[in-house]
Amino acid sequence: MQNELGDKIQVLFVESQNSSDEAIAEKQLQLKWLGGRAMWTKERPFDTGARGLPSFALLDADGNVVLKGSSNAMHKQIVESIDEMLKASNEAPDDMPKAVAKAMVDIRKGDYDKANAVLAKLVEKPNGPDPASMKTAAEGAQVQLMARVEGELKRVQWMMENGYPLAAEDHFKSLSKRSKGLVGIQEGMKDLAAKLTSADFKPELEAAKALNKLEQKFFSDYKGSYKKKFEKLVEKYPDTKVATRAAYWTEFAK
Amino acid sequence: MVFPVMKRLLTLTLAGTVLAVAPTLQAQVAVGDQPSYSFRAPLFNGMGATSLEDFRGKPLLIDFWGTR
Repeated sequence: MQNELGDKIQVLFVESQNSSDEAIAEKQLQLKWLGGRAMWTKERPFDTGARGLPSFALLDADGNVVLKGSSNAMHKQIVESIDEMLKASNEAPDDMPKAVAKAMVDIRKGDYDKANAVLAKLVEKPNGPDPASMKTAAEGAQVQLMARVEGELKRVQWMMENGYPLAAEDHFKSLSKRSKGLVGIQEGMKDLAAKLTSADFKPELEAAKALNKLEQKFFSDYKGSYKKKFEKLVEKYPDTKVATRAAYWTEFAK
Repeated sequence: MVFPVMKRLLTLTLAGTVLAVAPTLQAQVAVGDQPSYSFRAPLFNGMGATSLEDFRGKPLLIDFWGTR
């Protein structure tokens, strides 16, 4: 589902039998579950109340539980519910002035420049039958916009510092295009751009390209001989965060 | 008189133990709840997410699975 819907949703797999890392890796590789955007943990954030595994909880964009139960029995409902949520995300919220609501849709889509331009105008010259409410709503939307942008910036920074430089580069380019008009973040964006293109960061990018290729092959054929290949990568790019990621697979590869 | 005092002490100790253990027990969520949770260990492929709150902004499907 994560692969089908890309970044429109997030899938988080929670291993719930307290299995060993080896058993988890074996299963992930065996079922070819790796290589996508899905995230993994062994910590159960809550109990769904469902008996047996697999079970699930579906949360909406505000973090509310909208559906839960047995994954196998309710697969159709999960798909329908996600579909409804994605459709609803393109609809303007009805609890705020229309102009602000439209900007909120752009914020959800990540079109920050478009939303920012509209909201700045509404704050400066609020219109409509109740300008004070319009101004308050627009200011509230501006706060949400900045929180989203800062969240994306934080994520780019994390990727850079934790061995995902190519993903960081891609996300940074995308965010740059969508946030040119946001004056408050431009200094931070310049700093990130400088780090991404620095000589110090080059080995991370090279190592990541090599690791991506190797992982693709390993994830589709984990019984092949990959241990030495991962080890060579670690040796070739010492002191990189990407090497730390590669070293993880040396424990499970043959 | 000694026994009731000891019994009370034991009760308090047990109550303290239950309270100490309680935070590790998972609360059962209901539809409509907005659960909150901070992960103690980094998520694999987590891209910087450290809590359920970090996933807000898009639907989140949490799949509970087992290896056995």
